[in-house]
Amino acid sequence: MKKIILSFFFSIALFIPLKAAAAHQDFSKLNELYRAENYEEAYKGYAAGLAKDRNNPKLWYNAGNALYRMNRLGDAVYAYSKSFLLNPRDGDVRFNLEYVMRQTGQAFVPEGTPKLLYVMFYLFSEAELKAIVIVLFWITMLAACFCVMTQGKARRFSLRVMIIAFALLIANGGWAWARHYSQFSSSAAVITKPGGLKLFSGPGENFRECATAPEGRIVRILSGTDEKYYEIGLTAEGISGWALRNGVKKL
Amino acid sequence: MRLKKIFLVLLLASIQLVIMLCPSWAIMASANVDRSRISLDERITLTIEILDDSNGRASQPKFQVAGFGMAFVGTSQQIVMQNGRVSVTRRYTYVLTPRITGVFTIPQIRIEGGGESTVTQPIKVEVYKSSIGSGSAQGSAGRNQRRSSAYRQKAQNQDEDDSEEEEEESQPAATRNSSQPKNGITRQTGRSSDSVLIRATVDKTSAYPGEQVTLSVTFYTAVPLVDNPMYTPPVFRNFISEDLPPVRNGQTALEAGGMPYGYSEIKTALFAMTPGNAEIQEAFVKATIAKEQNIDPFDPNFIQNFFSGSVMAGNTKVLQSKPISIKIKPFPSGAPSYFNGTSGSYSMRSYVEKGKYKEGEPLNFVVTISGTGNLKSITAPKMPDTPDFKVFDTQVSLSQNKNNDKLGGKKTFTYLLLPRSHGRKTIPQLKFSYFDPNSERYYTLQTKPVEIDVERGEGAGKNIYYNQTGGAEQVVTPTATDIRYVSDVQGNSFFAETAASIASMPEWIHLVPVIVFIALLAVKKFAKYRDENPQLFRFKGAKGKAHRQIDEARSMIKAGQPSEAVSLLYDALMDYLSDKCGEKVSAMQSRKAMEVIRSRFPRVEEAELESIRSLWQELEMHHYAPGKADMLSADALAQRCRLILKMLDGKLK
Repeated sequence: MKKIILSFFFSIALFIPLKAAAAHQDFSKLNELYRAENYEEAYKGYAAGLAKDRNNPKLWYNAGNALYRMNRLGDAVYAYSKSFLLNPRDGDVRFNLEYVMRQTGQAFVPEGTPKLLYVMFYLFSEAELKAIVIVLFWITMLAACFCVMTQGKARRFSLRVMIIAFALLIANGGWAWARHYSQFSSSAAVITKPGGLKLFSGPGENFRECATAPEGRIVRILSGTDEKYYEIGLTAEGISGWALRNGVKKL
Repeated sequence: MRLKKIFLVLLLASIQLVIMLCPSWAIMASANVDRSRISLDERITLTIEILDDSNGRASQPKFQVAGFGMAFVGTSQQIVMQNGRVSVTRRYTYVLTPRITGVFTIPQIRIEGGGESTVTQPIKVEVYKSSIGSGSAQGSAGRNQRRSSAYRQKAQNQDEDDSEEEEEESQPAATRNSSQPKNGITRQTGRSSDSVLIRATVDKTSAYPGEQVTLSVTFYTAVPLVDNPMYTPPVFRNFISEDLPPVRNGQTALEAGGMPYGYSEIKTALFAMTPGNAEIQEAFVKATIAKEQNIDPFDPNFIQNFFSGSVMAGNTKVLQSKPISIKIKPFPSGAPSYFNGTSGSYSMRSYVEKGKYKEGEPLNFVVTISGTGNLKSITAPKMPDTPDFKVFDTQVSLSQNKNNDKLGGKKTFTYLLLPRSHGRKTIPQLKFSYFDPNSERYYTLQTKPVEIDVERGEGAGKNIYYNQTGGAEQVVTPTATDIRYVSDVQGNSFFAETAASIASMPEWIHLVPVIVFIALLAVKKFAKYRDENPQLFRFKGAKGKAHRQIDEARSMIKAGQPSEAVSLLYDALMDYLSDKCGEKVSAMQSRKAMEVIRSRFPRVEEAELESIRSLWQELEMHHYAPGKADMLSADALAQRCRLILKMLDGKLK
């Protein structure tokens, strides 16, 4: 049985690096275009790269830079936010995102929140948190298997491992849940329509216009059931409304 | 006797005069809202009306309403002198903007003045998410308006309780004789033959929210009045009002060649709040017209009549104008993002007090918006976040003028900025959008970027410098901030890639450890059960075990080992019977063994027992005399063994 479990772990360990080695590409030529201030062409190149590999944080970051230079603040906020979601520990991404958020009247670190705490909260990406939860789940279950199979000292050791892994699993699950409802999460979106976006009290222009959300504002998607409209919420102002989907990009 | 009578009259008149002039202060206050149920995107107008007999000493109330943003939009007042008493009715208007949904209570508001105090009744307001239920909101608005009217009526009744009066009914002279609108503006007129009449007119019949509508209420009189007429202004629905003093007085003839009238005209600027309908309700004027009577100064009762007021008594008339309805148009589409509902015509300019500052020295960035319109409704343009400055609270000052009955002036916003570091800094542009009702277009104004030099402050943090050989100290001075450069590093870190791979694994894979765990639990439980019931498992496995041994024995026969095969067959029979009976049969005599079988399995017949005994003896013989077994007899024994086991299997259960 031990052999079976060990071979299973080996197979997973082999599977991961094979997949990880896949999506590297050379974008130094695109960076040369950026350096030559040919931002539009550089952005087209980054966008083509993103069409193949949407989980490349560096491509999102570079695309954000090109968009910022093209004065498309909303799209720049979106690109930096995507990059931040994929690799929140990158200092450049954090700096640029904070910079453009200030330009759109938003604070990267909410007022009254210690910056260190905020940095710790976003230490891992959502994918990393999910992976940690998965690994802890596997450790918990395998330790439980050992606990069933073994006797004496081995059994006691397995039991300890199982309890610790389970406690960490619960804690990480809570963390991942809190992150899912935080400012930067897959349930957030960015207003990308130049000049801002009108919010209506229902999914259609026949409803009353209730607010205007400025370009670059990070909002929450409250409902995505309608084909043309999202129900979005502006948390700070306590306002919600329906906005055309083509003016909002979901993170 | 006559002298005594005159003295008595004078004494009584003096007492009456003292009573009339003696101040008896009192404050009455009421708070009304134009609607009690609104959606998040609507606003409430809260009007606090204070009837103050303490000569206007009541101060402006201070209060907060939870769940609402509050803006003070204006005040209006009416001063009435009657019977030597001055009463001031002051109306404070606030606009409440809901922040969250729920049911809120506008608390009791305490009004104090002249040593007296009173409180208003609390008002419940419901804020809901969407615009559903506006019909009910209208209903509530109506209720509040009615309450307001009731209050006004009550105030009138208090004023009129001791005077002879001839009140016009709901159709007064002015209403009954209303003329056709002139140029679509005149809404209310009176018959020119009336001695007193009131007219209320507006300068436009439709307007945009925030656009000025000028209301003129004119009181005409062609006869002398006993005292000053008392004017009660109209109640406005969906309007914010601003008085336009002074009161114009003069003489005019309403018709060519008609009788001359003296008139008093009061103008009010009105600003609609939301699209829809807005209403100016009735304005009231109470006037006392002198009675025509002969006054004889030589009448012995002249002095008594004079002081008792009968000489001055007259007929009191209450006139009211007709309500006016104004259509409030919605703003046209295409509003810029900075537009927040301001109407009018404005210009904007900005400046800083000087061009050079020191690090840590605060500077005032002044933005002035001037023009015509309701400047009170203009909020401070939002200062974009800038890394160069820390922005503190904004101070606001308002200078209003009412030239040509148009509200205008300038509003100054002073932003207090603190440079974060030294170098050349730029104060970002501020934008302000408004709607011009005349051209029916939106305009966006913006300030020019203001550049200032910020020098190093005294006592600032240490600068970073390169100490070059023999050179001067080279100070590192950040001059501006920008985004960081693009990244040349490709891909993501190994940890992130690995995590992404794990996170993207198919979800069913994570069932594997659960299944393994469940299977292990089942196996362990089964093993425990088997250990606890060995006899049961031997009983169930006896047939299989015996057949395997027989098969093995036949293999031995084929391999030319008949003696070993017979021994194995003997063991097979003994093991089978032992497992079935639960006792070691091989240690028993065959007769004893048969008794055990018979007692445990009564279904086994004597013939079958005989077959077993026969086979047993034969196998025993070959087992203990191995040289006698040949291949044929061994094979026959194997077959018999199999047949007997097959026969017994149905019975030994």
